[in-house]
Amino acid sequence: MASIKILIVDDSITIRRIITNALKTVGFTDTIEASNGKEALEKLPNGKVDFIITDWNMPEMNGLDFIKIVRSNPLYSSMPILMITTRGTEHDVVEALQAKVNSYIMKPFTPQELKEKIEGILKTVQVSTE
Amino acid sequence: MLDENKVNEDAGTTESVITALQKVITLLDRIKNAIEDSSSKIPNASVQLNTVTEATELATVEILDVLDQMGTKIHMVENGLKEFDGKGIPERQLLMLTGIRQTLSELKENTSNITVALQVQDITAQKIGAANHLIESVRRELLNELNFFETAKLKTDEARRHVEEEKAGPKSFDVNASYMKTPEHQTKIDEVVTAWKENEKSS
Repeated sequence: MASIKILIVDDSITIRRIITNALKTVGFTDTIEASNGKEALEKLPNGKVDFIITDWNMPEMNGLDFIKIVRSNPLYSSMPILMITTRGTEHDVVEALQAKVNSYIMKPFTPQELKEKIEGILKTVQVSTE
Repeated sequence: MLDENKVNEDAGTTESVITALQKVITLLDRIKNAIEDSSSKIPNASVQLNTVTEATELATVEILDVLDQMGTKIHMVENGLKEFDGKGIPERQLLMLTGIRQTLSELKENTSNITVALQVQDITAQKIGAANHLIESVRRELLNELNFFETAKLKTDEARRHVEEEKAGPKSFDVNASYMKTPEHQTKIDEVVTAWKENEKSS
């Protein structure tokens, strides 16, 4: 489980560091980072990524547009995606779900919340591929 | 006699209109100067706010570095203590070991709590970004108003170019970003996600 590679997409250095540290404390040590959707798309093909954690509000390309592009590629149609954002209205969550995120966390988050969501997503992804 | 009175009256009216116009011109001039003055100060405010974001980000990353080092050291001590697992250790020292393990566990939790709290930096940065956006909007409006004053046209164009150059900092932000997230808030989000997925399955 802990051998998966996670791509962290957030324009805030602070949040990227916090997510990396939080992932480390719950056993996920293999991570790469991107500061916006555009950069993430560049890193995705060669990164051998198993899981994406993305923010919503980012310059250049926001998280929602990034997810839509990722999902439109058949190679990544079942890529697990977790959104971590400050946006927390029902409308926001539905919009993210329409773009096909697997789960959604509102900032600020705890490492435990992060772990539960990642494990929950991985479980459903395994079930659906079995 | 009547004509003379009419001429005097007209002259009086014209004089009043001229005086009023002079007052209006003075007032418009003062307004123009005030707008020019205000719009020239706004980029400084904007830059100052961006500096705050950069400084807090730098400080937060430094704190995260320290927390990282603390975490590594705690982990090392925890691993070192594993060598003293019960065998042949007097009860008093065993109690001390349990106490040390407990303290290390608390320290780990403390560092984790600090890390969670540091997310406030990102939330603050988004708020500052939103404030900056608002300031820039006001400035643009002021510059548009300045266009009405022909003499200020050149300065306006110059100022507009300046705004484009000065536009720095986060261009993407959540104006409603808040640090006050309750467990109920995440529960509500989870409920929306669950309902959505159940609906997807059934359809």
